Amino acid sequence: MSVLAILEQRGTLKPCALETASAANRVARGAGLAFDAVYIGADPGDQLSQLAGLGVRRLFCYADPALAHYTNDRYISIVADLVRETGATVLLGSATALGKELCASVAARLDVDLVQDCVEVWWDGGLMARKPIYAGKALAEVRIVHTPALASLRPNVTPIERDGGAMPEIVMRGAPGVPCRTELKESVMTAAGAIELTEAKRVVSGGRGIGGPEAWPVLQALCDAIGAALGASRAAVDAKWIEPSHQVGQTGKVVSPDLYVACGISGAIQHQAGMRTSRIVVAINKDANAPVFKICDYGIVGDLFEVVPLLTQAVTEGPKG
Amino acid sequence: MLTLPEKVVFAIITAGSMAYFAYRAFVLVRLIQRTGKPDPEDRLNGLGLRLAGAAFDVLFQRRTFRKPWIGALHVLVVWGFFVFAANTINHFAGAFVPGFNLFGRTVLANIYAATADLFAVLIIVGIAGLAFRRHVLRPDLLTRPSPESVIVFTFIAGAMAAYLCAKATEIALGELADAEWHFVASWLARRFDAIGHGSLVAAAHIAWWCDGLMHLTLIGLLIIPTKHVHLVAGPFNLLFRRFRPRGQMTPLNLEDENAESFGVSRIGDYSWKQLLDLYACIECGRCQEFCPTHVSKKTLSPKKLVVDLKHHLLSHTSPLFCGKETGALVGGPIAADAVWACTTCAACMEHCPMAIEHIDKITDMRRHLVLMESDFPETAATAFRNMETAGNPWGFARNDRTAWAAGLDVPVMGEKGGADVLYWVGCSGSYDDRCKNISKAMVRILKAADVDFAILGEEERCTCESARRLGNEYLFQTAAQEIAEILNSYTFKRILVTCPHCYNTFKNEFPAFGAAYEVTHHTAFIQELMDSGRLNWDTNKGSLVAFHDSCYLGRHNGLYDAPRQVLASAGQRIAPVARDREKGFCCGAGGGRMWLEEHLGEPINVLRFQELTASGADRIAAACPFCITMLSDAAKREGRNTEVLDLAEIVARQLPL
Repeated sequence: MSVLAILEQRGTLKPCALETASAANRVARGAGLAFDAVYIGADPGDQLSQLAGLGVRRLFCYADPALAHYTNDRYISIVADLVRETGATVLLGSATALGKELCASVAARLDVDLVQDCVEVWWDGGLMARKPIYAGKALAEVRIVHTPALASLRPNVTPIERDGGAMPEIVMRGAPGVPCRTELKESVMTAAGAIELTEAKRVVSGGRGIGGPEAWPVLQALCDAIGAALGASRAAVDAKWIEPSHQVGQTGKVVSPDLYVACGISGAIQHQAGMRTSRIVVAINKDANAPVFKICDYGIVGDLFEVVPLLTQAVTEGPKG
Repeated sequence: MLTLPEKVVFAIITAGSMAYFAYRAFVLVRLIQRTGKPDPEDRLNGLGLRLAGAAFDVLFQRRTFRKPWIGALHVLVVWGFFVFAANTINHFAGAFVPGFNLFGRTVLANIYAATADLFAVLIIVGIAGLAFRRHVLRPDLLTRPSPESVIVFTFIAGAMAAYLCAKATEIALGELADAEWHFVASWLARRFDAIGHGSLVAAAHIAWWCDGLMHLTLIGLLIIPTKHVHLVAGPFNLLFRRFRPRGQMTPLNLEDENAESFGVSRIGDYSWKQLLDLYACIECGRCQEFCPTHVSKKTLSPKKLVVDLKHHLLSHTSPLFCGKETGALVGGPIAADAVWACTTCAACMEHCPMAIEHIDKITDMRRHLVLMESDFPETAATAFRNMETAGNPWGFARNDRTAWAAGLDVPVMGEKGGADVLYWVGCSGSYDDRCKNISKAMVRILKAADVDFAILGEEERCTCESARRLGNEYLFQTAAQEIAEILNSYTFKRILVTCPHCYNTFKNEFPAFGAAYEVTHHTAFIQELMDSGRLNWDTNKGSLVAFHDSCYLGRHNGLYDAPRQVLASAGQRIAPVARDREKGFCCGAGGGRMWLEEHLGEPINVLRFQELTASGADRIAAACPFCITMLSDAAKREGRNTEVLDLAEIVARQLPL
């Protein structure tokens, strides 16, 4: 009887892993259950220190070079076997592209129910989950009656809560001896930068109004200053100023960051469709009549080559006086 | 004139060939009979009309004459073939019954002799002209000339030359009764004066044999499936032509519990008529001349699609006869890119002389990919999901649908209960900032003309027309039933739409789902208001305008004149555009392409924009929100300030304030 959290990594522990741990901790305390976590990957080094104070009792650390990258065959059997071994009643993962696949596969392997993409989970005599339905127009509250109960948590939603600095007991494990039908030869990263666009809390995007690819360093400087991912409108991608992997919009990526800074973007409907759920939208455009000013929370009419460096400077230097 | 051994040999060759040809013809017919599924459309209704139409098209080559010179050359050959049908009988019967003539010894025989001679020359002229075009001029639409076309050209021209030589030698030998009527052959015979009798007899035999064997070969070419099978399959294809509107896709019975599969995966999933289409193809390339994907250098060419399907069908004759599985089309002979590239603009179907139905072949493959394999471009998934859950392709909230109308005092059906006109705003007109202006302009016009109208407001939802064209029949049918229920709960006389895609859906597709209403596109509606004097406007603000024909207004529904008349009445001068009306060039957004990225070839909207502005106009007028979005994007991409306006906006600007 315990709660088990899957800590997702891509080379390093992802922030969503810590969020999942925090959520799992809350559920465990609510249910009066012990809380374990599982890490699968290459040697984590000193990264596990990030788990301090998150309430993890035991960390099952499957560290092996063969586990560095996600493979369905190996990861599923590790998680499914561990659930059986620890007798976990609750299993939580992250609703990232990888996490959703992992959770769904584990649910299928264990033949149990799964609620994907939850924004909140808690314990009320059983695992409860809240998830958006009807394109976010409503929230559903779901009670999972069977055990073990599986849920995946939407990234960027759960706050990371620490209490003290206690470290978990680490149980080292090796790679399981299951046959693996796929082998990752090489992963080629595009220039999309370290922060994944769809998971970023902040996004800075450029459109046709930036005038040309020479403007990207200006926007990238702001990205670096505020920890944002770089996005682009279809117009900028069509003009071949940037890789299509950066495209935000109906036919690109759909993002919903806390902060969306639109630079030189007119705000056509196809772009709106990709960012309309952003919490705060800041628009910077020379054209005061650009439709983007109708949908933004803060608008700056001006040349981005002037405005953006000032913003970057303000962020790096902090408030004056 | 033949010797006995010659007669025996000729009889054996003829009988053998005929038996073989009959066998081949049987195989071709059985192949589509056995392989093809029943066709969803009644292909024999209005038989009289069908027969008359097919006869007219065959005799007068209606579509072929869209290129007048080609039409003229081709019609010489067609008529020549009919004339020579009688001659062929005379020739073959004449081998055994000397002097045999279908027309006997009457004056008809004399007239026929002269006609045949005339057409022998005309066929040679026609064939020489067509061969010159195909092999020397080599227009793009014919792509590379095939070896079989050389064979066909040679045998047709050769048969005519042999016919003339055979007659000429007979005349020179004094064996032909009505020599003077064979005016070409007798002219030729006079050239033979210097030749000795013995040589002349030998020449006569050689010419006779050439004539006979070449005719047999030509008949053989009709049956052996080269593109010349079109001579036989074409008239039947015209007879069974589509009577349902071009913009109407056939509903799939999704409730059918016995259906194992939807759409087309293998060649045997097509209906018999779809397969007959393949035989009928002439490979003339008219289908690809105005095809946006071919012109913009993408994978899809409608001609290549049909030819590839034909080769696939014919190269799988034995597995198909044995009822064995043939491979999937997509990923086999047909590239997935080609299937998704089509904008369903109907340029191919408009220009095909053989009434081949290209679009259905493609949308049927999409239906299979979407409904059975769930294999479709990723970005289509976003649009599908949004249409399903939010009722619009972008995923905006339903209760924001009327935000555009704020402060305009637009009546809503739910409050009013009924009106003369139900104004169906559409998703673009409701949510897209650019297209909201069209809705606002339309409301101004309706109010200026004092029309009793109302909108559905939040009860309106996407028709899912583009989802249907992308193959998502399930989503479309769900939307159709939902919309029919809402519409049937109100009283109104007709529906007004500002989007040609909505227009086509209401006009041609929703009636099958219990929503049969009169629908008018706003171009025709405004024209009515103008004609009836209900609108007063200022014609002094006119300027030079290039009008872009929307495919679903023009080619799919024949509305070419109304928008032009509205523009002219509003004092606009219409600039001549290189490709317009039936030859109009798609903006690139039809067939659900609005929701897909265009990664291959050149951008279609930019090509069209360049063509429209090459007319010298500084303004582009269109009557479709998709076209307006695509052309506005192209203008931005080209760094031009050209205004792209909807007709309603142009008219509304001229209304007195």
